[in-house]
Amino acid sequence: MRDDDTIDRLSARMAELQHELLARDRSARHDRMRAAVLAGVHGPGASQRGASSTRTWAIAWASAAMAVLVVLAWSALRPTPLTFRIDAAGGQVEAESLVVADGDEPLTLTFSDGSAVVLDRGSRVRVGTRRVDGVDLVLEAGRLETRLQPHGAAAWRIVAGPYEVVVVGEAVVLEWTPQITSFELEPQRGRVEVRGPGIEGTRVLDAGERLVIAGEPREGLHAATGASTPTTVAPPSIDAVAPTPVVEATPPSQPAAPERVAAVGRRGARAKPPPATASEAASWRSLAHERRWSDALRLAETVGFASLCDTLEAAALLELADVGRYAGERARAREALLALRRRFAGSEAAAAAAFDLGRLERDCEGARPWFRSYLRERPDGAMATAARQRLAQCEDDRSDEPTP
Amino acid sequence: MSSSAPHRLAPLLPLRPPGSLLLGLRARQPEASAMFFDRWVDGVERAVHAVLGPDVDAEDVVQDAFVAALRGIDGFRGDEAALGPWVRGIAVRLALRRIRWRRARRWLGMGGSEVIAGLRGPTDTHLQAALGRAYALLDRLPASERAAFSLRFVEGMRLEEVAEALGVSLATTKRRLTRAREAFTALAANDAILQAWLDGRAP
Repeated sequence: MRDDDTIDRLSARMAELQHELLARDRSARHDRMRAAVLAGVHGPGASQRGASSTRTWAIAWASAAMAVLVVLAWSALRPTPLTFRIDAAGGQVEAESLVVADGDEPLTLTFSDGSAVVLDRGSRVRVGTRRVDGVDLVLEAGRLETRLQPHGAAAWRIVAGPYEVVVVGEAVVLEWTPQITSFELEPQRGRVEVRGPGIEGTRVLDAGERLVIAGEPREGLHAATGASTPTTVAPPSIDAVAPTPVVEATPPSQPAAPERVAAVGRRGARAKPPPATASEAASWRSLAHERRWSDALRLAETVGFASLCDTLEAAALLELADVGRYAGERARAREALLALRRRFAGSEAAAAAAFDLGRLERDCEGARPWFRSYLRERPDGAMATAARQRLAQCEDDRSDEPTP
Repeated sequence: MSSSAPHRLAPLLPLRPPGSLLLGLRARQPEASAMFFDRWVDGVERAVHAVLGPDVDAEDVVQDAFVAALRGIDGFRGDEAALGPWVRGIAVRLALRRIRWRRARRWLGMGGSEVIAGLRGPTDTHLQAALGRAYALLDRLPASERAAFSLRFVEGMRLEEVAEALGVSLATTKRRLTRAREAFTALAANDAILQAWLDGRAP
C-alpha cells in the first residue's frame, strides 16, 4: 500500500468517525458548554477580575513560585516505578527481561506494591515498561494469573501475540498459545478490556465471563511462531460465556523456533539445560544458569569466544549474548548476536538477535536500524510492540520545535 | 456554522449591522458572547477533537478557549471574519498544552494512557476504539507534529490555516507535516489491527 493511500484512507475514516461522534448529543453538549462559557465570562465574580489587576498579578506570581517549588520537590520525591523480584530466586531483575518459568513449579513475580503475577510452568513473559502503579507485560507463551493491588486506570497491560489486555480489576487468568493461535481470558475479580483480531473494538469482560478465541492460524499472526504459513484463512471462533469454557484448545505443539534462554530464571531451576554441543558447554552455561555472568564470560573466553560464536547453536548463541550483556561486556554480546544473525539468517532466533542488538545500542541512531530490522523480519513478532515503542521513543526524544 | 445551530438567537442576526458583534463583545454583552460561541463552536470543536482525539477533556478545552478569547477580546486586532480562526488557534494551543501537560504527568509518574482513559466503560463502541487506536499511534509523535497532522489530514484544514492555528510559519508547518506523515505511515503500516480496520475487516 502506498503511503499517500494509507494516509488518505486513514484520515478519511478518522474524520468520518470524528464527525459521527461529534454529531451525537450535539445540541445538548453545546447548550452545556455555552452556559459554562457565559458563566465563566459574565457570571458572578467574573466582572470583578479586572478591578484588582495588581493583586491578581501578585497572586499569580506567588502561585507560580509555589508551583515551581512543588515541581522541584516532586521531582526529588516522585514515586519510582515498580520493581519486582522472582520469589524463588531473590534479587532484582532488570526491565524487559525475559522470564521463563522452566522449573517444576509455577513462578511468581512479586512487585514492590504487593502485586503478583504467577507464571505457569513453561510460560514465558517479558517484563516491559514499569510505571508507578503498573507494568506492561508481554506473555510470549503460556498461562499467567495476576493478583494485583488496586491500581490506576490502564496501569497494567498485558500483550499476548496480537491481543492487548488492560487489567482494570485485580485478578485475571490469561493463556496464550501462539502455535495454535489460542487466546483465553478470564477475569476473576474486577474487569478487563481486550482488543485484537476478531474482536470488535474494545471488549469489556467482567468477573465470571470468559473469552476464548481459537481457530486456524492466520497469516501474519503466525509469523512470530516460525510455523509454516497456512494456505487457508478461517475466522477465529469467539465466545464469551459464563462460566464454562467454550473451546477446548488442543495441546500446544513444541515451538518450532529455538527456545530463548531465560535471561533471569529461578536459581537452580534449570534442571535440564539444553544439550551441550561441546565439552565446554557444561562449564560456562552452568555458570550462566547460576547467574554468575562474569565467571561464565571468563570461561567462555578461555575456551575461545570466537570459536563458540562459530560453532554454537542458535539458542546457545542467544545465551552467550546474554552472558556478555549481563557481565557488562556489550562488545561480546554484540559479537555473539552478529554471529547468530550471520549463521542463522531468517530464523526466529536471528530476528530476536536483531531486537537484542537494538537494545544493546546506547543511542537511537545505532538502535533504530536494528529495531526496524526486527519489525521487517517479524512484524507481528513477540517483541514487535516493544520494538515499535522504542522506535517511537526515539522519535519523541528528537528535539521538538517550540510553538511560538 | 451548520444549519442545525440553535434558533433562539436567530432574531438577533438581522438587527446587527456588520461589525457589531465585535463591538458587542468589547462591550461585554452576554448576547454577543453567546452569538460568538454559536457561530464558531463547530469549527473549534472539530479542531480540538482532531488534535486530541476522542478525549474526555476535549469539552473543557473548547470551553476554556472561548472563555480565554472573550476575556482577551480587547487584545484582538482583526476584523469580525478573523474571530473564528483566532479562537480556533487559541483552542489548538490549549489542546497542545494539554497533551504536553499529560506527557509531563507521565514523566512524573502520575498518569497512564490518555487514549485508553477516554475509552472506558460499557458504553464504549468499536467506533471509539478504532479512533483510539489511531490516536494511540499519533500519541507517539511529538505534540506539535501530531497537531499539524491531525489538523491537516483529519480536519482537512489548508496549510495556511494549520500554520495560523499552530502559530508557526508555513515552512515550519510543512516540515512538521512531512515528519509526521512519515512516522505515522510507518506506525500504521505495522499495526495489524488498524490495517484490518482500514481494509474493512473490522468495523
